[in-house]
Amino acid sequence: MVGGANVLTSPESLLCYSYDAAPGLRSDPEVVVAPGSAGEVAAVLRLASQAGVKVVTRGAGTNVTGATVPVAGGIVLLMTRLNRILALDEANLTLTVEPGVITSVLHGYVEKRGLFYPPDPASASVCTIGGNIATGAGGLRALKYGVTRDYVLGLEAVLASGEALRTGGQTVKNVTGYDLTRLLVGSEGTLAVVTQAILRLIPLPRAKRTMLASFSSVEAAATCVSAIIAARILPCTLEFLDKATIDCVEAYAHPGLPREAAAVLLIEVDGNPAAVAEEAEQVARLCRERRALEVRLAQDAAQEQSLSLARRSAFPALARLRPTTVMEDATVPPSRLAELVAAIARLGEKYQLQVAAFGHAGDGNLHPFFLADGRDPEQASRLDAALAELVETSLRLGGTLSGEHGIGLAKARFMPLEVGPTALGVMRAIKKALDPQDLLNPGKVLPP
Amino acid sequence: MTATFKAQNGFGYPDSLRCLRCGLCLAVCPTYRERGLEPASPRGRVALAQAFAEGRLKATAGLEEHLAACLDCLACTAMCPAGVRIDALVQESRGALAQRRGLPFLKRVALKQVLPHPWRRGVAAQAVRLYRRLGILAQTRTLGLKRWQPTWDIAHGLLASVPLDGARPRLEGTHPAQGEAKGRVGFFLGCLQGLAFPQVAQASVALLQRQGYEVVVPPGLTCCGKPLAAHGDLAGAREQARKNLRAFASAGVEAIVTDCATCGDFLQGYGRLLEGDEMAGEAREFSGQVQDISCLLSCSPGPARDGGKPLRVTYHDPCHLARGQGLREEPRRLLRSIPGLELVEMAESDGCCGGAGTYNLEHPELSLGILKRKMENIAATGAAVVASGCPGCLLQLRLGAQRHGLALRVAHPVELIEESLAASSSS
Repeated sequence: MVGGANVLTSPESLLCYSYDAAPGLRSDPEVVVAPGSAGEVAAVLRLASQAGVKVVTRGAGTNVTGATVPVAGGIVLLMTRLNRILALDEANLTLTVEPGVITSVLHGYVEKRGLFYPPDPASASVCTIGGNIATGAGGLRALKYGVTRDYVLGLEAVLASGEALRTGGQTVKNVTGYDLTRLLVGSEGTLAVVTQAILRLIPLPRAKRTMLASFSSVEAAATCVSAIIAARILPCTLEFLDKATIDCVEAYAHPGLPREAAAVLLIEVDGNPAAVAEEAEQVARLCRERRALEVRLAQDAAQEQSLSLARRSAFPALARLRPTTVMEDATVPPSRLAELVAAIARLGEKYQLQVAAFGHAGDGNLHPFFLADGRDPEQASRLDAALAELVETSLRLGGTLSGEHGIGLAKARFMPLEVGPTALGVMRAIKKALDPQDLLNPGKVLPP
Repeated sequence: MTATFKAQNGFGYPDSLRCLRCGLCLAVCPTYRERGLEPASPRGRVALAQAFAEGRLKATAGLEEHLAACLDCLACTAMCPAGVRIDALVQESRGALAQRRGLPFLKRVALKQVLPHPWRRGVAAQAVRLYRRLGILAQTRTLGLKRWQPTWDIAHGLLASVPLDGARPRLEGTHPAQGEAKGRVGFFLGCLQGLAFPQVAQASVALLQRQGYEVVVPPGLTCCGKPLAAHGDLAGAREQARKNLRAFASAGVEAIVTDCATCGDFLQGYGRLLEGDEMAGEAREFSGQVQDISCLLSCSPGPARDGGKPLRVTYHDPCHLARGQGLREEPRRLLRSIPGLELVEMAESDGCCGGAGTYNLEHPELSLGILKRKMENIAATGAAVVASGCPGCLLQLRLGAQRHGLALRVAHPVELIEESLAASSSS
């Protein structure tokens, strides 16, 4: 059906598809199949539905929620061979791609032509567009440019039955019927298998200015963020690092941040050169007015690199400290960021865990890190309790379970806390309508 | 970010428990880029090695194959956000597997019976030269079994680099410094350098002399041990290390210089390799003394004189120099100091060329795929010369030039410097 070399069954191969980037989750599939065309995807799904075999669709396996762990065995449907860029429509600013295209490859392809596809998840160098669509991936530019769902105009997908469908189309405006495109975006492979996507492009901004501002308190940084937004400026990047992250980053990459800094903002404005120059000065002024300890404005690409070093080093600086690193995804309305940061620090004290937080201040999406040794059952249970309380905190502050990572396996149990019984019922009904045998990615998103 | 990672023993597995499985290593792994499959990725190899160590996976041929497909290019280890020494884990797992499964016959003979013995190495080198001399034997390629054909083709291509008349340079002894003596250094002559690039080793010694160093090549030097370690024979590698330590023990040198990136990287790791050994102290001290020739020469007054021809040169970073020893700028500074030389950067200059010792012979298809990408990046620069400080890379790049029909000279930086100096002193 797909060629012998594209069917893996050895114990070694199965083991390599038993995990994704979620800590501690592991379950072997029974077979890994790598189709080379939409027709082959449909054929595999027809066979699976006839035999009642479960199917987990997978790209690069970089999600952190266990969304691609085959907990019920069955088939891992590996989409990385479907990696062609099919058509660039420069007149209508769309790009048609197969789901296995690597996100950074797509970025390079369009940016070389003066075009821009803004969603940039941290794993862009290896993750696939299909995976981005399945998780509704975000990134650093969401405040100004939005997330993956804002750039998907249309999809081709195959249902569990093997029937193919098209959603949306080539146009930005399209209100024909229910919005099935948005239904599939973020559905984590539980409703259908995407085989093609029409993405929306915008012109590549011609200029960018980067600055780094340090503050003596989280509150000062948070007020500064509010002031920037209130001044009707929308930076493309507005990243935040808390004190614990700053300390780890200083020890690891030595970016030379002020000693007394308790919060750091990495800010980038982009657009046409004249506007960018004006906005950069304005933002720098606002930072100084809000008692920034220091504001550094990059004058060239080399300085830009050195300013973004602190933010770029945050993940590696934290990831190497303990055997188990849980990167969370708490998201609140941006105005409540300071409360969230304080709550995270309290959780660290309460549960005796090393915590640190950095993330996207502009859109309220923080990445709290909880560091422990998960092999120790006592630490593991404290970790679990802290994560549960973090979820409650985010919701209390008007936020959500997940800003950009998704639900997968890790957060399915929390779904009822945010989504009311009626909405959950609607979700279950949709799942039943599209995948009546519960073959596609079972156990994910919806709680049992 | 550059860091130095050395071969370790016994710590790879516990160290690997910090792996987050984030998958960022997949983006930089040459074999994952070729195959697109998780078992051919660093994250996959870590998962396999961990499962093997924990007894969840048996010592199968499949496991051996996946671990053997790693180039040891260090790209994953250098970028791992959690700082996992993936290279050490792979090497140790190969060792544990070799103990259980044993090495295949050919490898066993080459690694255990030939490489460690200078005299037998000499015989093997003679055999290679004889093969080259009897051009008629090229015909035997077609007689080979089909399965071995790609390997045979590559071997034949690689051997074209071996000079017919160049016996292993007789460098043993003490070479006086020219002019005012700056110091006394040892020179480590690598096996491959001796076999395929004797002129490079000679140029290196001559350059050191010109720059005021007294150069000692002590008797009793042997293979650095890297090929043994890479194939999982750590005990064998330690034996080689002890021989080399003894050879340099009474040489009275301030530094030990080599012009082979891989030897240098491995020699610098002797301290770790011999941890707990009776020679551990000597090994640690020795490790600290080892320097790549580019480091020493660029630290000395540059050979900046007129007389060189304008020459467009691009530089390929050997894995074991750029990531292994953290040397990226030194060889470039050295090249730029040559009058009339224009250094042009290629894309992905530190991407592995796919040579990796005998990897090209063991994994012909993967190796040639990786080489293709490298040759395209080189060709795009329009350079007439590609320079690189590793004999393994030099052989592989020459094979690449042959196979891709490029009129490209492949040279070690010291050759270019020596030529420039010779030209300026004769004019």
